[in-house]
Amino acid sequence: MKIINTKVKIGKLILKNPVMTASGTFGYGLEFEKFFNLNILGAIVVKGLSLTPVKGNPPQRIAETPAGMLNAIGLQNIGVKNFIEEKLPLLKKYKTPVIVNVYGREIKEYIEVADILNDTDVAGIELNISCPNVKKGGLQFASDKKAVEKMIKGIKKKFKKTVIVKLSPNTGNIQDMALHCERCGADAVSLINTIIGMAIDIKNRRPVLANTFGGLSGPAIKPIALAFVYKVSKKVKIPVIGIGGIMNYKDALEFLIAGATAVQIGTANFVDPLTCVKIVNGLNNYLKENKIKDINKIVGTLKE
Amino acid sequence: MENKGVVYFNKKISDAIYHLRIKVQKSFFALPGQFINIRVSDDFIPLLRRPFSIFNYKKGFVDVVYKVIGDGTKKLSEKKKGDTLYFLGPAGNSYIDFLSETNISDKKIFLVAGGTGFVSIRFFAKWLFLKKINFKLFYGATNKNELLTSFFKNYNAKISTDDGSAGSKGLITDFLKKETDKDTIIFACGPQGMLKSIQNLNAFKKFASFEAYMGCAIGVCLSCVIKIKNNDDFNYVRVCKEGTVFDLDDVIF
Repeated sequence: MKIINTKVKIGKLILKNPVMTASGTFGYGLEFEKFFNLNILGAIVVKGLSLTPVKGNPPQRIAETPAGMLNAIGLQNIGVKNFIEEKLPLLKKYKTPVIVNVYGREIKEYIEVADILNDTDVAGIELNISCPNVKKGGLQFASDKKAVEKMIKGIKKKFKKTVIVKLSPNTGNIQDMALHCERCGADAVSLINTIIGMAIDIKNRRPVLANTFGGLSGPAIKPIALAFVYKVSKKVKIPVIGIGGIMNYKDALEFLIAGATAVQIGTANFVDPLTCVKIVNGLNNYLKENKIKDINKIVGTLKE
Repeated sequence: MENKGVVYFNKKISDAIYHLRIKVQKSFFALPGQFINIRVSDDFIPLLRRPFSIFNYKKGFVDVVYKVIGDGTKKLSEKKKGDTLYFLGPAGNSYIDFLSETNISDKKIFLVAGGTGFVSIRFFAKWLFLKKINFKLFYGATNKNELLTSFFKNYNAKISTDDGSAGSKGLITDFLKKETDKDTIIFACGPQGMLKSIQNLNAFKKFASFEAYMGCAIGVCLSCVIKIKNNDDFNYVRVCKEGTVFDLDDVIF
C-alpha cells in the first residue's frame, strides 16, 4: 500500500497531521518536551497571549466536575514580547508550526499583537474572541459582528499568515458568526471554546471558583462540541477545527467525520501528557487498518 | 516521563488516613517536599490526576500517606496490592533547595507539621537525620484521630492537638513561637492558617511547602498559583513548578 496521507490544509498552512494542541492546555509548548518530540504534532497552539503580561484571576482557578473541569485562569500570560524573546527561539528547533492564540481587551490590541507576530516565525494566529473568564475582551466580541469584522479586517492588513477565529458556544448564533468570520476573511474557525458553568461549595454556599463562573471542558462537553462542529462545517467553506473533550483517536475521528479538518486536544493533556501522540498514532493505525489513503477522505463524511 | 508502578500495600492507618507503597523502578529518586501526581481512575470520573506529597522512597519503592477527602482519594483508597498505578513526577522543588542556600552552622532548624502536612515534613526529618543535621520537630493536629505519632517516635517531637486529646492542648504555632528567635530556620507544611501565623514569627528564615488545586501538575494549566511578592506588586506563581516550597517572606496570603 502506498504511503498514507495525513496532511491537512488550514488556510495557508499545511499540517503534517490534523492533531493540534488547544490553547491554555499546552503552555508555551516547551513544558511537553520531556514527554515527547514536538515534531509529532500537526501544530502547537500556545497559551493565549496579550500585548502586555496579564496576572490572571485569583485562585481557586479550577474545579473538577463529572467528566470535566471548570477553569477560570483569567488568561495569565507573559505577554507577546516576552514570548517572542524567551519562548519562541526555543521552539525553533521543531518543524511543527506554532500558532499563537491572541487575546486583547480592545480590538486595536488584537491588531497590534498580530502586527508584532507577523515578523516572527509564528505560522498563524488564533483569535480568542470567546474567553468566558475575563471581564474585558474575550466574550464581549463573540456576538458582536461589527467588532469581529473590524478585528479580522484590521488583522488581515497587518498579518499575512493564517488567521483562525476561535468561537464560543456561550453567546449568539455560532453558525452565523462562523459564516460572518468567513466573509470577513478568516482562514479557518476553531470551536468550541469552553462552556460557561459554575460549581457551588454547599458547606459555605460560595462559588468554588473565585471568579464564580468558569469554562467547562473535558469529555462532558464533547457531544455539544460535536453538534456545533457538524452544524458549522455545513455552513462554511473554510476549514473547521474541532475542539471539545477529545480524549482519544476515536473522539478525534468523530469530529473529522462531523466535518472538522483538524482537531485540538485540550483538557486531555492534563490527564495524560501523551494524549496527542496516542491520537496521532491511533489515527494512523485506523487509516491503515481501513485502507484509507488520505485522512481528508474522512472529513465531513457523516451519512444521513 | 510518566511512571508506572504496582501497589505494594495500601493500608488504612487511622480513621481516614491511608499509607500507600508503590513498587517502582530502582532508579526512582525524590527529595522532601516533592510530590507525585497519580492517575486514580481509568475512566473520566474523576478526570484529573491527584497530587500527593511523597512520604518516603527507598530502593524501588515510593510511599505516600494520604487522607480520604473526596472522590479521587476514595478511588485511590480502593486500590489493592498488585494494581497498576500511573503517575507523573516526582515534581516540584524541595526543602533542601533552601537549606543549601542558607548557612546553617550557627542556626537552629525547626520543622513544623500541621495535619496531613506531616507527610513531607517526616520525609525531610528523615533526610536531615541521615545527614546528621540537628533539628527540632513540632507536630500538631485537630485531634487524636488525625495525629499519627507512630511516625515520629524517634524524633522527640513537640506534639499538640487543638482539643487536647493527645499531646499538649493548643495550636502547634503557640508552642513554636515560644522557642523561635533570630537564629531559627523554620520549614513548615500544613493548613494555610498555620503558615500564615508562622509568617509573622521572629525567625531567621521561614519556608513552607504549599498545597493547591492542580490541573496538570506539569506547569501548563496555571491553576495551582499563589501570590508571590514582586517589589511593590505581586505575581501568581505555580505551586507545581516554582514550588511546592516557598520562602514565606515572599508569600502574600
